[in-house]
Amino acid sequence: MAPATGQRSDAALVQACRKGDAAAWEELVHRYQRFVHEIPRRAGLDEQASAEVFQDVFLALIQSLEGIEQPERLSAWILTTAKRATWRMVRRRSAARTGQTSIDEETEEAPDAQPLPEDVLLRLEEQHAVRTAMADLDERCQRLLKLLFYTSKPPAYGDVAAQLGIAEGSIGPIRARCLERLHRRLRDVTS
Amino acid sequence: MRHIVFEQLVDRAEGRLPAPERPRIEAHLAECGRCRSEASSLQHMIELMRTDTTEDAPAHVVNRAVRLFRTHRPAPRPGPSIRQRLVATLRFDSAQQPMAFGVRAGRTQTRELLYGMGDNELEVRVEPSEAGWSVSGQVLGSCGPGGEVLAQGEADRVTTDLNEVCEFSLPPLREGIYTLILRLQDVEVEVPGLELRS
Repeated sequence: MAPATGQRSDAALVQACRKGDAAAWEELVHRYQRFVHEIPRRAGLDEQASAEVFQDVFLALIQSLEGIEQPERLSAWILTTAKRATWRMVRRRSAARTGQTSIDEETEEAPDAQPLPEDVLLRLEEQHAVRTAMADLDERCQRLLKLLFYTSKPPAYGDVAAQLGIAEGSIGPIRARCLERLHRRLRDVTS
Repeated sequence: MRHIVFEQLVDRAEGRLPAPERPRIEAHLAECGRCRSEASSLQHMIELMRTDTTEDAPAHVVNRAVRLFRTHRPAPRPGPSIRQRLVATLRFDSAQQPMAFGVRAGRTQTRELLYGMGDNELEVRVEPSEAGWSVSGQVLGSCGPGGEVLAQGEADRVTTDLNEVCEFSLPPLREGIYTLILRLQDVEVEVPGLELRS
């Protein structure tokens, strides 16, 4: 991702990690934690298995830091690694269950070669990109956009204004400015 | 041509556009590719946000990953050294697993194997193709830069490089028994007795 105000790019964080910068590693983990956690969850793995996959992915990342040739494409690397780690966990769980479950359960739980369709993974990657771009905005924009858009039932502007301590009439214009900044930022980093 | 103000595109995306303005806005969008693209892109971004049901990982899971840096901090690239040699050990072979009830034999032709090789693992997929046997896989863990895989058998001998996520895909192989040799940065791993037969 391209550099932004206050946020280091993925490539910069990888370079810093290579030099032993623990804060850069922590920033990388926090940047990708939701993305990496979601992939095994969507494949139907329970919390314990998802946590194992999570650890496997970041362990693989830390062990591969020196060898990543295109750190600006880190999200693609993480997606591939998380997908394969999820697949392995699904297969292991399925193999462990074979011979231990009733016949009906075996039929129902036959392992799937593709635990996660590509369109689901693409959407998760796009949603990760939006959240990462939003982290570049000022705090007021972040709060406003989360209140208005990270919900299937947007609250009334009056309620939002009360929560943010601003006039109701200014919600519309501020919302538009924040969205425009987010839209521009997202276009910059994905182009 | 005057383009649509961004705030109006947002109002339109949210269904808040005043009725008297709608015909003019829609007429412009029908003629202006730039505004239409902007409107579509904005609509998609809003839709991504509205349908985002992802959750944060539990704090203890995140913290455990953060702590990895203390124990697994990247080491500087090693200088020239004697390469370690290992023989991989088979841990899982889908061909050895009993069929699940209700699954007909031959439903899947892909054979999946998992090998242990020191601190890492190797997964291998074998499947028949029109051109021969397809053998692909991935080193699970660190493989370092410049790794390669050699498949050696009576019928064929081929090599291929590992990519940046430690994956490989060999050219099609003829039927037979092969030894795979993985040449990584500081270790060479032998995977003996890989049988490619129907």
